[in-house]
Amino acid sequence: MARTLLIPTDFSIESLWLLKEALRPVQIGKVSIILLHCVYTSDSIVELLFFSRKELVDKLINEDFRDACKILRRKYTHHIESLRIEIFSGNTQRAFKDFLLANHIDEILLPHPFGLKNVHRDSFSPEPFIRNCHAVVTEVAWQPSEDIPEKNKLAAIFLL
Amino acid sequence: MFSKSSMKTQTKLAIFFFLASMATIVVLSASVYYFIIQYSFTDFYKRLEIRGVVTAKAQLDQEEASQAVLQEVRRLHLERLPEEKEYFIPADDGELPQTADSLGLPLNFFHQILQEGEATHQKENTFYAGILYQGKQDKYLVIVSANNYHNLQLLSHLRNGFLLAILIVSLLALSMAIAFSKKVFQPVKAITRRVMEISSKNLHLRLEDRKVNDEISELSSTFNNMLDRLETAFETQNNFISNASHELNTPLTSIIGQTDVTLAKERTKQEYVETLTVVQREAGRLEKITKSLLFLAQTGLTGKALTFDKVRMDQLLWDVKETIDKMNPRNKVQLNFSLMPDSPELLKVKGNNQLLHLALSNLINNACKYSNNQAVIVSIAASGSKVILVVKDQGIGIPEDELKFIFDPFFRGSNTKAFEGYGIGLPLTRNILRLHQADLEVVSTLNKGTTVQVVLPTGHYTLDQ
Repeated sequence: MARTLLIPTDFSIESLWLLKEALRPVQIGKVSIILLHCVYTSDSIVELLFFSRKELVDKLINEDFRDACKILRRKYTHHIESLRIEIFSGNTQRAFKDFLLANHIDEILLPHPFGLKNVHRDSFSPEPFIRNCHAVVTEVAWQPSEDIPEKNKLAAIFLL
Repeated sequence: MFSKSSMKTQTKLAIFFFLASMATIVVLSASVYYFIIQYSFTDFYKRLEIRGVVTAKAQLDQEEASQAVLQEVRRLHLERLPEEKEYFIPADDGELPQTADSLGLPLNFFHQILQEGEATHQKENTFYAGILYQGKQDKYLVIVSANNYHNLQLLSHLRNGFLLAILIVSLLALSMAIAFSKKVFQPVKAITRRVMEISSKNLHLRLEDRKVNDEISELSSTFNNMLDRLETAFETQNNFISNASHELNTPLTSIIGQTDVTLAKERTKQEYVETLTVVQREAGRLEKITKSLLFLAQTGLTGKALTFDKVRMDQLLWDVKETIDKMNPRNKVQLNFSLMPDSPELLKVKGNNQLLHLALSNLINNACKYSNNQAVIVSIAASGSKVILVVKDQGIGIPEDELKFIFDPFFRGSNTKAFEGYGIGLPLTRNILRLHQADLEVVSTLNKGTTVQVVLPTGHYTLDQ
């Protein structure tokens, strides 16, 4: 049975570094990967009525990120059982715990320092929730790349 | 009327649009008018009939009381119509033809009343409605006639209104048809103008990319593809001689100089060997250049049809590296296959092997050249529908404001004076990649390095997700 990893992302190519890091150990076995981004959703009835998770994700993701995900999937065909993107919009620790339970999360990767950006105006950092939860949290030292020409381009995936 | 051959499509479209909208409005008005006429006539006959019944009852009923009541009803509720007249004719009267004659009515109107119980007749503006009335003793033909003045007045108003509306709508439709056809054909005209501007002198011009994905953008992208091919062919032709002579000149100068010096006086055997070694090396270089020139000529850019095959990109990279190793032994090209997928199928693209070889060796050569043979990292990855190649150097970079000119033929960056080159490689590469529908993106930081990203679609060899 594949383990499920939860990896926070800000939909930048650089944030996929965590994913690469997760797949680095040789004896990793099969993993299911959930890329997590946290966005508060509106509590207005009308907006909830027309809310579409897919639309939101489509707005946040660009073509390069999609391609980068595909590249990593192709590279680690034998390790990645599934790769999907989840939006978490709860605002309590309890909701986060339920989210972890519902998605059968075995392990969470947390970049240190937490350098992910809030790409949406309602984005928020999952860091406090991750720190306070009871799941297995692995901190990964992360140094966001310095000023390189291909920053935010698909080409950056090779630098990770 | 216009003759068919000289009429522009734009005019045809306008006329068609105009006629279509006119037909619609005319049919609509005519049918509305017709149905209103029908209704108003039927309605008027009904009114006449009601008057006939009430009057007959009032006049012919024997009971005084009901007569008075009906007279009252008639007076209060049924206003008199213009020129309203009532006739009571006994049904068994043997003089029907004479009566008909004296009233100016056709005889079969009477017969119809007798047979069907009711009938209508119209004589100019006077309308007749007749019913058969069963009195206490006798049967009567009750005929009421009146002038349909009000309704006719209304109908003529309606008709005039419709005619006026049709006139206004026709003007409106005409102007809309003209505006519409102009609007539709405006992008086509723009393309025509733009294409007319493009001649052999400015083949690098392209039609604008439209954001919308419609027939017009298809047309302009088709034009652009054609221009790509034209431009590549033109440029290769134009630059071939200057390229070739320059490239050949350098080793020749070296050979001639070396032999001149050596022949100036008697030398030792050792010195002759050294000179001959140099000559051999330079001759070898010459051979390589002529070979690569031949190769350039063979790339099919000069008019021969391009053949597109499966090209395995990792294999191609090795080939390119081999070529570069031969041409420039001091290069430090590293191939990075860390993200290469397991399945080699994913690395196959639809392309022309020689052209892609030329394009990639151009890119990698540039990277080596402008970084003074520092490390150049060439990476490859595949996403399934695309193959991504990245050439990254740590060279002199490209000034930010010059980045947009690097694909212009003969353009050379302001910081490239120390390097040999003609500003042909990159445009050629760009054109070759365009032929493959590939995406070429160059990003650079001055004095830090340049990264070139090539995204090649796998073409028809798309694999399932």
